[in-house]
Amino acid sequence: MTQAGAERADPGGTRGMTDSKSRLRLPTETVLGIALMIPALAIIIGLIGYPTLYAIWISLHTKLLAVRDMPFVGLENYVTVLSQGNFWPALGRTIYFTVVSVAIKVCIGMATALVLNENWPGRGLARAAVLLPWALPPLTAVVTWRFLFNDTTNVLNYILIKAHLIEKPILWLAKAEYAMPSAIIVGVWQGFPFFAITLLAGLSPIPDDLYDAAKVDGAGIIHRFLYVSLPAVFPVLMVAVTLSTIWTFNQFTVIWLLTQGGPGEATTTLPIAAYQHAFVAGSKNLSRGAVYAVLTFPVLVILVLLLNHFISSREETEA
Amino acid sequence: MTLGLKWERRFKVIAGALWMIFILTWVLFPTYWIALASFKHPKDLAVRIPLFWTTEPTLMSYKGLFTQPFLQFERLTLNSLTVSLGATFLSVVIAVFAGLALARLKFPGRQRLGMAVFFAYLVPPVLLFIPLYVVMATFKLIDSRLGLVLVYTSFTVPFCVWMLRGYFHNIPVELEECAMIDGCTRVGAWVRIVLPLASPGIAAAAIFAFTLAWNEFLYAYILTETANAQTMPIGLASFIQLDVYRWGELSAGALLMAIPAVVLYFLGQRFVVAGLTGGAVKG
Repeated sequence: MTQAGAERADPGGTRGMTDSKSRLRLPTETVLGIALMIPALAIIIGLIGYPTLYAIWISLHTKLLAVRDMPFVGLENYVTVLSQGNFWPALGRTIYFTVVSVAIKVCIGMATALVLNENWPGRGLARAAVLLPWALPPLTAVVTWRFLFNDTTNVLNYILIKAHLIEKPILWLAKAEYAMPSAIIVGVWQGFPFFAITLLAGLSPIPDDLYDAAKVDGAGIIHRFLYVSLPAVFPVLMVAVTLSTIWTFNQFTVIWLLTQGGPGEATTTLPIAAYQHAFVAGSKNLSRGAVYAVLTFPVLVILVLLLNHFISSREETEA
Repeated sequence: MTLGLKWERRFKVIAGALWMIFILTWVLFPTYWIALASFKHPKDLAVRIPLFWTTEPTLMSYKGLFTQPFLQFERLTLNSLTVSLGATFLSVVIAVFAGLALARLKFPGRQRLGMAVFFAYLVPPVLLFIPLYVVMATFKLIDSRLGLVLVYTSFTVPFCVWMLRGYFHNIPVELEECAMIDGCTRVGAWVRIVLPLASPGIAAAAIFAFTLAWNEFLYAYILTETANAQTMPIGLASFIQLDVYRWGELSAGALLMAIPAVVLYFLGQRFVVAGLTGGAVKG
């Protein structure tokens, strides 16, 4: 650390002076640093750390929305949820929604990034257009798609029938078998630009020489993608996949505004189930809802550890 | 074994063009459709054969939006603005302090604290909304704009700290040291040298924090009850749940809400790019 400080202050004669100065400054830096961190730490501990622990606390009690008291019940809520609640089907739907959504986002995002990485007139505008869904408020995105899916305003069905892709109108949101795909379509529509842009940022620094060298070696377009582009963007891709998985797994707004978890329970993922138990169903059991929320925590921890691994290994390769 | 280079190039161009046409249609058509709907006459909205263009654009839906007594659209707009600006201001100030500390000072645990801020940003609202509801209820902060501002800092502060930390980090430390050799104190050097150079980054952090707060749905949905504190997405969502869809007003409202978010997002993007390339003194 002192070595790095000495290297920075390079003007010959001052070197010794700056060095001793920075050694003296050290405790002041610690005090100042911690003082400046206090407001941010207060927010993070008070509004993220403490509520996370409090969620676990609530899940070990019985807290109803309208009742002040919360008697301690131990693991009773967990036993109830895991044995008879809709937990397991909801977990299955959440995993299905997440895996399918993220996979499609990766494919569409990668293809779009590859085309945007080529040189062609108007690609700046195209790049901005691709970002549009990502910049929209989720409410606007969902209202838009509800409008397209709706059977009285029927535009999507009209187009698909005219294009001979389907024979009769699809009840996108009203039929259980189409509701989940519909939710995935809207989620992918909003989420794929994130992949397109991050992957584009990963692709653009690859020098043309590498592609030219591969061409000389007789590599076709697919081989150039597999052996030049893909390894170069792989670290970025892994970080983007993990981030998107966290966001998609915890997606509430899009699904709730689109289907409210229905029809029946066809799109009731864990976040939706947590909300419904806490604020909609029957006695409005906050503790029951908290159990669903807390049970998603291990997934978050695993994903964050993965992310940490990808970020630090990326920093190592860059260093 | 491989196609000739000329044929391969042709294939690449055609496939790329087709893909871009598909992507641009899929991105732009829905947006076009909702914009068009907001200017259509209500009688043209639910028809057997959809109209892809309107010859008589009207502002009826926009007028309807502002005259719905139960919606109080002006009040919702005001609430959204107040809450988003409040959260933005608070988090930028806090994040400038924390960002400077993390990027510029050497103290034990700095690296870990930096990562902790990043992971704090990733803790999803789904885990926090139930305990935060109980906490806010205890402090009588349900249906209060102040309560919403506080809760929103839980994601705007980590976001801004993380962004500004990176931004401050990219400003050459030599500039600051020169100022200190010339007699500035450390804090003086920050105020005179680092903060002005980082202003595009601070602007971008503010802009993105604003859009995060402006677009937020779940917290506002559970923590507000009346037009006293309800934000635009909440008011418009209650519109969806009516028996009869009022597509005209709904699309007008959704579009109005989207305009600031989209304009600011693209503005913020420019700031980030311009700032990072413009401020690159270091080789």
